[in-house]
Amino acid sequence: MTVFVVRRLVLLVVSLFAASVLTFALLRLLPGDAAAAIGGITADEAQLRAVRHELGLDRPLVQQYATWLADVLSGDLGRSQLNGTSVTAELGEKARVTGPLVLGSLALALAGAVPLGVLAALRHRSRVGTGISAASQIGIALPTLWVGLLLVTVFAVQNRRLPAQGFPVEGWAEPGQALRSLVLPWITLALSEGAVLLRFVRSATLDVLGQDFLRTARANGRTRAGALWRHGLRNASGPVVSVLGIQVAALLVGAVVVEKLFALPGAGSMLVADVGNRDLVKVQGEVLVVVAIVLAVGFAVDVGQRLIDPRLRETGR
Amino acid sequence: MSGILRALLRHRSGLLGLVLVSVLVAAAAVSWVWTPYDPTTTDLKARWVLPFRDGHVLGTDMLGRDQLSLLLVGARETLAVALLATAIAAAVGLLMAGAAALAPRWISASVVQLVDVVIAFPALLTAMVLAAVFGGSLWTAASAVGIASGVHVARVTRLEIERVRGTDYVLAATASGSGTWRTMRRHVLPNIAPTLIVQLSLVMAVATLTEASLSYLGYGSPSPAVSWGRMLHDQQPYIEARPLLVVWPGIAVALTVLGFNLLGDALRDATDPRLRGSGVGSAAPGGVPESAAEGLPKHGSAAAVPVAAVAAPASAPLLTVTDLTIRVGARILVDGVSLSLAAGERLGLIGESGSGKSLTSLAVPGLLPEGLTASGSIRIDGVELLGRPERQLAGIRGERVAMVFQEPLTALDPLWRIGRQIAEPLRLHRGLTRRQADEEALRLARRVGLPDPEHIVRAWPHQLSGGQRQRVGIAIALACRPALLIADEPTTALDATVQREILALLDELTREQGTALIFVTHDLAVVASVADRIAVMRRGRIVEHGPLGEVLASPREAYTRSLLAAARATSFTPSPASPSAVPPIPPSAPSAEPFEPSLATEATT
Repeated sequence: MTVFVVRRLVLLVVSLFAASVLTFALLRLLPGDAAAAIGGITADEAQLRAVRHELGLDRPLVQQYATWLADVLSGDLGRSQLNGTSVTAELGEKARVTGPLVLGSLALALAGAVPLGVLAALRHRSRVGTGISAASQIGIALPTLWVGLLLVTVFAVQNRRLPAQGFPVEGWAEPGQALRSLVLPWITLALSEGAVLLRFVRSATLDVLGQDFLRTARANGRTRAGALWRHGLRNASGPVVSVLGIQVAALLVGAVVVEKLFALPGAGSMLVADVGNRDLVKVQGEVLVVVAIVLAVGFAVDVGQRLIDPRLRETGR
Repeated sequence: MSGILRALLRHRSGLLGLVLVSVLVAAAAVSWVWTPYDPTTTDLKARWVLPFRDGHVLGTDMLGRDQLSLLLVGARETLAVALLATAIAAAVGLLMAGAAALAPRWISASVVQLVDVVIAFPALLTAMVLAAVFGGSLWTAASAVGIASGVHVARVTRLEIERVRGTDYVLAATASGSGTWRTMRRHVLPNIAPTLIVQLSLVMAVATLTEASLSYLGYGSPSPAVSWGRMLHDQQPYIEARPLLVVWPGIAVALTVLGFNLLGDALRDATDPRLRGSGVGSAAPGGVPESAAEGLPKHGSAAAVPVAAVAAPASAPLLTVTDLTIRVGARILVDGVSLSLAAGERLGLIGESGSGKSLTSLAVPGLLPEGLTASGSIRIDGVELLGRPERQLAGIRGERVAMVFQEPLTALDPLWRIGRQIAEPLRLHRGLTRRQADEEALRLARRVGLPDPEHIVRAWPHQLSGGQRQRVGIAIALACRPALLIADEPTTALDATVQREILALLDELTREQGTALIFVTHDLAVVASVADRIAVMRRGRIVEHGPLGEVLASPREAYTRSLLAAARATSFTPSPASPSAVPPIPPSAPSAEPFEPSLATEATT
């Protein structure tokens, strides 16, 4: 197990390094001119050269990358090309909205998907089961942004129970207000993630229900439900945990759309604005952070799988 | 291919998916030649017309643009992005998978590594980066989705190539001098095509969603192009005044994604031969009850075996089964079985696969598979079990009636330590504390002859051999000293020497504890070594029933005689004189069915 964790950790570091190279390459090697973007179409050649020099764009690429990487490793994701604000500081600030948004909707999605998925598996031949399955299929197809717009229409325009736009200026200093303005975003984001998770919970549970060891547990004196609870769910959790790892990426991307929908001042809105401004240094830092989170979650999932299943611990892969 | 199409048409949700996607294609095609109004001309005099007014079926927006026309033209953008993304994904996926599977080792290793890293870049994120560098366009969404999905396709395709390459016919083709590329084209590509098609239809769903999101965020194709996502973007500020306007494009996106998803799911079902035409109980041609009389002319006399006469024990019976009938739907799998067992008695229940012997034994503790119903009567200590709620049955299972199953490899929970599983019935029925249960588990492990018991109670099931796991199964079953042990083919999955040890162990422990035994098997040699009485089952009925020696010496039924002949043919002669001695066992149990092709095999296993 320790050997595995160490090897997987080395792999994580290698992947993070590769991801940083890819991110850098994506933004610096592609034939676009950041200087032209900043200088504007009216800038003449001398102005452009000045901008390039200021940004360090006239140095060799490898040197630019090395400088950037060294900064990143010391926790500095660079400064905005437009107004010089620190990307790290701004991301830290925005994470106070995006973090609760993503984690809250993940919790909400799980709270809905696990019981409903198990129920759909237990009653897979009945109307309840097929009904839940069909609903999850529709839930997957519904675009997050459209669900959000409908929720805005129903809850904020028609009956005005919940705030549909914005976040309190005081932030979490106003906890009640802050929570209320997150309710609709949470539901919006949780709905499609929950629908995906539900399908995996259902199929994993169905798999487990057919297993011999569940019959053994019942022969030992457990009820059908008891056997599923004590033996089934843990066995079903393996595939669900792997999907959860993949879905974290979807949640982060979903947060971009949801923050724009509900005008939340989070990291997603920040990214959208920076793309609009072509502030490449900021975009580069933001992309790297998202990818690093996805890779780190992948690491956590791989280790978690081995904590759940002793059979995986021995293969060493 | 036409087979896949036909399967798709029979698949109800697949048909729906096909219809939805066809509507999308039709809308895009129609929009080239006709739209109700010019979608891009603005008409400020006709702003915010309600649906079905002035020829605007879906109404107009703040600029007076006809919504239906915009939707029709928007289908083009969606379809274009979906097709483009799919083409890119296929190209990226096949190239990377090919490189990973065929190139020299160092290249393939780095490609696999690269795929794992690129997968961490979500499509929408890549799209936004591309938009930041180039500005938004049709290509932004398409190439971002194409690359992001392409690496997924690469991963799936590589695994598939490796799998197909390992199959016998490809190995044979390679051995007979077929070159790598030829093998790929002739053998590997056709085999991975179904997986690829399914993957690519799902790419279209992702592309549709990503295009919509990207356009909504303002980074889709620039202005004269029309897209559903941008319609949502344009209309959000007016949502308070005209909420209906965000409904139409949303429905369009949702139905398109649903269409691609359903199509993908249906294609997966259609191309997976395991799922094709699956239905419960389709395995057995001809119903059991109808054919029961055919190969068995003396059936009438068999039914007249006086159960009470042979089975009547002196003391009150521990188990009484009367007229047990098990059905699945209208089909009868077990037909009026009656049995009786006194405390400490040992019955061998014998028959070929599909004879209903396993179902009969599973019915006693209420463990029939879902969908099967039992009628008649099953009494333990005079108490009726049939129709009792699960909770009460659970109180008897493991306590009064215990079971040992056929497959020791799958009967144990892979995630629980051995000791904890052995102690499970004790903790459930005796309420032992954890420490007491641990001690008891250790004692039982020692008693069933597990090697190094202190170590093995801490081990996981996958670390044990088949014979060791069956010893664990016996330890679990006998933990609470049940009055009745039902062993359902407990040695069938084991090899010959281990079979003998397990039989001896079962024999010894049940005698020691005075446990009554129902031993279910298809192997006469095995049953002769443990049973006092045997009941022969065929096609859901008991056809012969009596003391072991009597049945072996003078079988009345043609079927029993044929079972005996089959046992003798494998060089074993049952010795009725010493039923409890463990006889030599034929090297392998006759796996071919001795009498006739079995019926309803599915239902019993």
